[in-house]
Amino acid sequence: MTGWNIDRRKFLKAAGALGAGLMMRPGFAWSADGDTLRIRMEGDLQTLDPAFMNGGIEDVIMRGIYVTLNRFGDLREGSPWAPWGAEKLEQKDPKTIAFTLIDGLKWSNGFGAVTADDVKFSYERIAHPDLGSPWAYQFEQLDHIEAVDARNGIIHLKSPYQPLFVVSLPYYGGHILSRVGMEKAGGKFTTEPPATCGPYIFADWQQKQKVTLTTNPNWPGPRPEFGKVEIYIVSDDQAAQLAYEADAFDYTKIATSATKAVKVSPPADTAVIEAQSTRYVWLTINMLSPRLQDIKVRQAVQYGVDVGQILIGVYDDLVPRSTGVVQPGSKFARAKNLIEGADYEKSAALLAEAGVNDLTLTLTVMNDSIRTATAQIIQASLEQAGIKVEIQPYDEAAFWGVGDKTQGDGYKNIDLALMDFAGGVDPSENLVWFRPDQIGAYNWSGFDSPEYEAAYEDLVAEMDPAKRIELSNRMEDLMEQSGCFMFICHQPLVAIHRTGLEPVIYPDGHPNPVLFKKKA
Amino acid sequence: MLTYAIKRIGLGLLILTFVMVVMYTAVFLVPGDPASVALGPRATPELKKMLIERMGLDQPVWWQIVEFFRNALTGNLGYDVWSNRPVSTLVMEALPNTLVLGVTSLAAALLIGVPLGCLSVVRRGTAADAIIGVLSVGVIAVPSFVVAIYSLLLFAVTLRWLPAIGAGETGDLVSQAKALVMPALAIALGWIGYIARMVRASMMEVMGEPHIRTARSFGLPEWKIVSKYALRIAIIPTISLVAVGLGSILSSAVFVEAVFARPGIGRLVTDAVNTRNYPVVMGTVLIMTAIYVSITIAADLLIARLDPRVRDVFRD
Repeated sequence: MTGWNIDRRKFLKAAGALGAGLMMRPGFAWSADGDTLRIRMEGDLQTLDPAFMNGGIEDVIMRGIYVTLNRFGDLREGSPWAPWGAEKLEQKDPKTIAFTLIDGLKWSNGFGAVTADDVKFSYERIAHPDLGSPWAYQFEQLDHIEAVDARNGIIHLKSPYQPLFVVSLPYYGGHILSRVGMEKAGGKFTTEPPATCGPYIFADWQQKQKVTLTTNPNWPGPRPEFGKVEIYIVSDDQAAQLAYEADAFDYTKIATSATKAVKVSPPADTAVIEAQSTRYVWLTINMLSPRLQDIKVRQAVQYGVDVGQILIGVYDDLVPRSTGVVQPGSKFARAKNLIEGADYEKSAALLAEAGVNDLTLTLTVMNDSIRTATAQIIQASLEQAGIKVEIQPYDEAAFWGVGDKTQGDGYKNIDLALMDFAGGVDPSENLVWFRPDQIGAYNWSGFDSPEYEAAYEDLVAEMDPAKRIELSNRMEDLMEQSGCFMFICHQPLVAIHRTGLEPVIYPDGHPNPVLFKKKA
Repeated sequence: MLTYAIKRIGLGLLILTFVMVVMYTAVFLVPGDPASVALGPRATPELKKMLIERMGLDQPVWWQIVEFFRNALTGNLGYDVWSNRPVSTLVMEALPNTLVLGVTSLAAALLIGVPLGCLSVVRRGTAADAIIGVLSVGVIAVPSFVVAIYSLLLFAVTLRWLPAIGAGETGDLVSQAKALVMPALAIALGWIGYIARMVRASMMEVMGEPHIRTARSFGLPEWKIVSKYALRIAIIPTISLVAVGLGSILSSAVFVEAVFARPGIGRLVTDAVNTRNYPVVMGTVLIMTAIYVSITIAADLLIARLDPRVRDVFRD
């Protein structure tokens, strides 16, 4: 029998080698130097054509490589807009907006100066129904653009459309493309733009790994503070947080569930951003369902849902209850909900009044952990009100088919659905989905109010801010009174970043590296 | 041997065709609307219709299957629905990363596992045998994603020796090698234990056979008996195991690629399934199945070459 042994000398040798290894801490150059900003996004890019962008990383890249007439400031400051590619952007009357491009904007690849005709080409292209752009709605009120000369143009609208400055011009569809470049490319491209003009150049793309932007030497606008931006693609929030702690990047969004721990014990040299995103969460109560046609039954559901429990259990109390689909804190937000809190006795009384016993409803939900946890709390809450709930989880692709009228009459059979949409700065962007024409598309509650529709049309045309607030508040009252909605919250946006940075976050929750600053 | 090889390859092609037909049918039976996923809450019915036509989803399933095979035979695996890039390009960009990861993990598992198994046999009944036994069973029981997270915490977060994410810089072999260490370790660790146990068990059986006793009686050194006479026979079950296990290694790659944000086939196919990007799903599955079937055939042929009894059975 051969024994396995180790003598003192061998042990000391091994321990010494291990200790030396640990002491060396080679500190390989994973961290970039001070001129490189490293941010993390969740998914890879599919296209750099603004007309077909999916958001996410594409949104971030396009803010670097293209120019829009105006741009947003930071989400935490209320996302104020300011001129960007235009030195002048002026509303002449409700249907006419004049603009003057800043001097010196130049296309890459020798396509010459950026002109008002390029603006005309870009906006009219995206608005044209034949192109099939999902962002065409941003320019649905566009009649035409008049290119006055090389730098001056006039936007003519079909009817007054006040949200143009926050819904259309600074957003996805507002990125300007080169007419000549696009014609040379045959009218379409995916990941290789024929010409770009923005503060950055699209320098490198390692599929599903990293995108690199470097400064555009020909950019005439304010110089970005970082000469290079590296965008790392990490889909999982937890992996991203670990990678941040390993100094792989300087800015990342983190999981809501990780927020408390990070606040208690943040990684070294790190600041935490907590904000309310524009993504709003609500419970749809479908009045088309045979079980929910009586408004008393729908109201029983409204009184039976304890939103406070959801905010504690799912969102760690990071965000308050929403008073509608409009972002809390904005001037358009309602002061309070009509139903202030759960009231199980009232719920039971309403069911009794409606003559309903043993009510069992199905709750349709996407199958990720946050949404499933929310659904379970709703289930437990309604159980206390005497309403049984069966949770029906779907993956994302299957979920959207459930309420789609083009796939049959199934949308009329949905009872409850937990939903969330990415919203915008203008209330019209969030309220548009509950118009009657959206029934069987994205209005899954069957909410069909002529007053709401009329108010929506007034809201987009109205220029008086006070009247716009009144209109949007009334629309949310109508939603709640219908018994078709239970507003839950606007999801929290939690991100961590190095303390030497001042991040700028767009209303959609994505960082805008062009405007990131270094702290003195 | 030639007849055996032809039969195995024929069977491989049959399996490939069967898998693709099943996959195609399964993909279309799964509920979900790719147009809604792609277009999100901004989609109009007209846009959805346009996209469905572009994807060919308005055609009967049998027609789509026939078209897929017809195009695949000419090397055309279709186009990514969203980026419009050829699926073959996407797969070929991702495949090297996954293959490098799989092969490195497998090589590490074999290079460490086989000697450990042999050492266990040579030192059977000693402390070394016991320690190898305990460690082997221990590492088999630890899932690869747990190894991934802990190695990330230790080597990237605490020690900062290795990069936390990615596959390394393009064209920089050192950076790529460093980026490979932790993902390969995460996959290989369980396999090291598995192979060590497998080799030990087979070897113990072989060591009792007459030809080994004869070798001993001739006074050959133990290492020579083990490496030259015993291992040649004892390795056969391990080769089968490794070939079959490649599928498991590739599925582990899905988790590991997610944890280390490493580009590869795992992430490509997961993203494609989630977005119902059917051409990418089908193209990727076709290529991965072809690779898997090829490796299984190669393992069968290698076993036949090492063990004449296999060829003899087939000849009979």
